[in-house]
Amino acid sequence: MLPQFAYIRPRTEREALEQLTSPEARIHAGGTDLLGCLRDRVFEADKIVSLGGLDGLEGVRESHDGGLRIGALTSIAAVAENASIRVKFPGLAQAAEAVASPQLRNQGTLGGNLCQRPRCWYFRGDFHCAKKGGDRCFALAGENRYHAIFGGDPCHIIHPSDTAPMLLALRASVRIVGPDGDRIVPLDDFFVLPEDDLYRENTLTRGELAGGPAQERGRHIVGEGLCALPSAGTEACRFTSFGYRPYSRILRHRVVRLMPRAVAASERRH
Amino acid sequence: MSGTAVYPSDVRLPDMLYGAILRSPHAHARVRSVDTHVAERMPGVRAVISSDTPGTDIPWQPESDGPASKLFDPVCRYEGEAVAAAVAETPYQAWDAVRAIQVGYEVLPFVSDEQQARETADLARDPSVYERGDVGQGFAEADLVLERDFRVDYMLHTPLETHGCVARWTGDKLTVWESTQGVYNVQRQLAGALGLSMSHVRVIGHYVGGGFGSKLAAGKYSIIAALLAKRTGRPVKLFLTREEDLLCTGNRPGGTMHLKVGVRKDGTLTALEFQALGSGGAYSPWGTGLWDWQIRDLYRCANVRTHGESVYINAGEERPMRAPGHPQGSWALEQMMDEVAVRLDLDPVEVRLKNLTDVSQARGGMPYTSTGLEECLREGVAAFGWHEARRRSPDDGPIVRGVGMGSCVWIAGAGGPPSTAIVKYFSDGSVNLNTGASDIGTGTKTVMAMVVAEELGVPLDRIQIEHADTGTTEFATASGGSKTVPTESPAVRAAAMECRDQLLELAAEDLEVPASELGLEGSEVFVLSDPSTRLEVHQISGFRRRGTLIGVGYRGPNPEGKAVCPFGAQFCEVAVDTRTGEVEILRFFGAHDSGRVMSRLSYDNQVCGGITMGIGFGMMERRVLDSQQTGKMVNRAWHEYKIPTALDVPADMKSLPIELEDTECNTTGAKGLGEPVTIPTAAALANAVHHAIGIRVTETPINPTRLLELLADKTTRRT
Repeated sequence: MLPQFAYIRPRTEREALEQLTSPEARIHAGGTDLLGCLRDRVFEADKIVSLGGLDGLEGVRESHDGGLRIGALTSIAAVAENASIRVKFPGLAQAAEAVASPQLRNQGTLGGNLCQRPRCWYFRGDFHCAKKGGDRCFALAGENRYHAIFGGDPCHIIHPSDTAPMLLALRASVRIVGPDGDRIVPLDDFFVLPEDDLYRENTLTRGELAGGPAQERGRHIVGEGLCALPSAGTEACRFTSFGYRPYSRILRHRVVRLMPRAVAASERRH
Repeated sequence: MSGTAVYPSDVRLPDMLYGAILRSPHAHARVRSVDTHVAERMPGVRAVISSDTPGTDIPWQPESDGPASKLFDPVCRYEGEAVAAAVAETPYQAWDAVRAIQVGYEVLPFVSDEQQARETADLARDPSVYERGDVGQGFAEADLVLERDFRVDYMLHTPLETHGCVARWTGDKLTVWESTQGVYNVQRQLAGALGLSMSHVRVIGHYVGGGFGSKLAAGKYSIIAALLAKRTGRPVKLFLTREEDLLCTGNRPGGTMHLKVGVRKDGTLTALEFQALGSGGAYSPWGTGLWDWQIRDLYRCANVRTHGESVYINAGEERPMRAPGHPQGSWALEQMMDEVAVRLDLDPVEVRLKNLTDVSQARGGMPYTSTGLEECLREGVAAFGWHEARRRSPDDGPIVRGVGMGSCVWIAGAGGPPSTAIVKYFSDGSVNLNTGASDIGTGTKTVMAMVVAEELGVPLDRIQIEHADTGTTEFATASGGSKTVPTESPAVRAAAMECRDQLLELAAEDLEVPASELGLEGSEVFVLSDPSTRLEVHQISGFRRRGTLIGVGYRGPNPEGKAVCPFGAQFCEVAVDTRTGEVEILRFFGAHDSGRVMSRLSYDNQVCGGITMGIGFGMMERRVLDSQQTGKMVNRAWHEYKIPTALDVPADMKSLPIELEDTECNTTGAKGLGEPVTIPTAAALANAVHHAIGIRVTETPINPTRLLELLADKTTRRT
């Protein structure tokens, strides 16, 4: 059952940022992971800040240099179906298509897909594990079939996003809006590994928001929205996805050839 | 589909409260203290009960021969055992209250592993042993002896509608709307637990959103809801959450098996020896129950020995699950039959055909009323295109195709007495059918209406059905064992025939012709020798005076000295990606002999549903316990406990009914269907994978992780 919380739907980005500064405020985009986390008591919330009232965070736009700008509130289904994405970055469309079920793809957003809490049955379940402030990672000696096989200390959790590996391969960047202005972060630097900070998974800090209105910076960064994709194709990428979807782990420090079989499997399934 | 069905979980009554159950977070613990003071004073909370509450000292499952326990037992033997319960104005308040209950637990050592339980006093039951012929002699006569270990994982029922009920008292009478397969079972258990006359307990279960065997009886939630409703004087709704449902409402037991097969060069079996070790969890003695039935009964073999050990572990208890025990044994037997074929260079279907029998050997050689296994195999082979698919030249790419098959017999499926049905025939020719049976989504109501229609010529839309209500409908056993159609349909037919006879007697008075010379066609009675002489049913004067005719039908006995069993064979084609270990199921085919096809639509639906569930058992589903650290279950949500969805099963899934006439089994000629259709599915998949890549997967589920390991082993061995 859900805890009690206030629900706020700001009309402006400034107002949203103000609301997000309070200690137990949580962002509501599609809500598909938020509701599960609240129900499973992964975290508490006293205030839910909806992004639904903000303009300009949804949709896919082509930039002048051939890249794409994808708004944080663009639904996963829209990413999978978007004609430009299917033509220019078919791998991303296929990755989006691999997410969960049709209902979740319709409701879930690309921003939420990147910012969701990671999945581990100990973390999500009734176990007081290290990531929740406990004294150990249960996966280490426990049921760890679907856990990280590289790195790990002090937590062997994995990131569940299907779109993140492909966006990383495409060298996408994220635009982060905060009280002190905004910054552009390559997706590679967006994710935080457990060994760097056990209690977070990305560089967003309190009061920050991924996504926002257009602002052009640099060759690959074409502005508006959450993800900016370069126009060039990529022959190598800096991640791999191990095992069976939706379990994947981002390897920051390795250069691994993108496994085409993952794409083949995804093609066959759909 | 109208969306108007009101399931028990949809029931909302005025003034209704909501209940929630506090469950043990430990796999094994003694409850030292329960402090409910804070919870009781929380907003909206109307009652909190625990073992300290008077009237809760109720034995749980007193009819079982498993360990004795109570409603709120001081010892929790698995994670999820009920410790206390609260009821409040909203479900949220009830859950807040449950969380505020302070329990002092003494955590005890737990056992998750069957082997460990086997070596622990009090946890191992006496083995169940079966023997016929001389196994030693049989193996001595064999040209080839093969043996192998197998393992199957624990599988959960996962009904869409979770377990639960709504309970309401009117004075000293209790009415319960329960999501159940058997209203009379729930009535008897509730009356026993609460010390009530059965006449004071009414259980209604018009719809049930899936049960698969896990809703054959009442749950603790049924008793708790009744107690909470009694204490508050208001109706109480208590439905479990999805997590609770996965944690503690039943499972298909898993465990290990060893099967040894002796066979002659031509594929004839000479001996079968089977050992099994499994667990029904903390309370059910049915660990390896019926695991050996396929081995004992499916193929002709004079020398058979089976040995089944069941142990208790600190985990949720078994409840019967769609063909209890059969898919487990089939996983071993059908794979060994496949291996026999491979080793002797025979076709797997030929090996089955070599070992057909028309008597039930496990019943001392009792003949079957009908056995369509041979037709299932031969017609299945032709319709599936088995030989063409087997002969196709091997693929040289990384994705390899293979085809496999398996066959089965289901122990039950005969049905039998008791059953009573009432047909009430109105003077306008419409009918009310009254039967106590639950329709668990298998089309029971449709089939029963069709039987009435066949007998009385009444169109289906003029038949109204009352069912599954202990207050207003007749006694029926729970809908399980694939026996509802063969049990109920003959009783319904008998009731309809009685109406028909009465009607013709009354018409005979008007037409002045003996009743034996009259026939009934639609809403008209006619003279057999002169069909133009007709009388509309509503014109029969005696009928109009009486208003209604009542026909009461009973289920007669099954044929003496004969076994009534359904048979089947399933075939499938898979594509294995040798780089990722992914298995795509290209097509599935089920050829089943269940006697007369009562309704083709619901028949095919059963076949496809059974295959889907078998795919889950074979490829996806496994309960995971944190067996090294806490004994707690880790995959208690559908995100982690994956069941097949429409995307996981092949679009090309076909059902071929092998419709043999069986005039002996009962008066409608139907045998059970719902369970045999899931028995050989997983083994057929494993055989197809073996055909594709030459790897025998002996442990469920066949998933990419396991296959990649096995593929890597194979590569290593080769190099």
